[in-house]
Amino acid sequence: MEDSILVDNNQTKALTVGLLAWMVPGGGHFWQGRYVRGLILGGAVCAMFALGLYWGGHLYGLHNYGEMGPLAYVFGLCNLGNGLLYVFCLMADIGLLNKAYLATAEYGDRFLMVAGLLNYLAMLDAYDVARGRKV
Amino acid sequence: MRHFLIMCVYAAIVAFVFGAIGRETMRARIIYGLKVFGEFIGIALLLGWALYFLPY
Repeated sequence: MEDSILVDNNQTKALTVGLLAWMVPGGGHFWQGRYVRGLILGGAVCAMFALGLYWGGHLYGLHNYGEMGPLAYVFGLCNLGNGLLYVFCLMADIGLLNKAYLATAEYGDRFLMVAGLLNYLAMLDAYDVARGRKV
Repeated sequence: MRHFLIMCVYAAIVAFVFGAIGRETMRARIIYGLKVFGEFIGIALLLGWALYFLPY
């Protein structure tokens, strides 16, 4: 009985850490005391996101459905990995304009997507650490 | 040249993250990160040369 409660608590904690890691890049590791890893992961994701915006990339989502069709879901899912950064930019109308006239706009798009995908990886890593599968 | 530099920045950031989550010890992380970075750059240059000879 106590073992099952312990497992449930561990699972709940791991899910909370995963959610936090998704919302704030590096936050899940910080919360578990892995400050250096959290700093590296959070810094890398935020730097990539900022560079993506700087180079003229734009965020995808359902607002692109009309021009792109179902592909907007795929790209939007990649961008969604940036967590609150993505949500904030959507709400503040930052990075929604397609700047295809810039030579670096395609790079910016890829940077924004890969930043989200890297944050998904960091989120899974934080979840694994919380479950005790990784150090 | 700017495109190559952007690719280097991309490879460096991804190598940082892969190194941080891919291995357990600090030494192994640094080696793995450098390996990933080198592979990104090396494969990109190889593909670049391969595509150069394609007529289309």
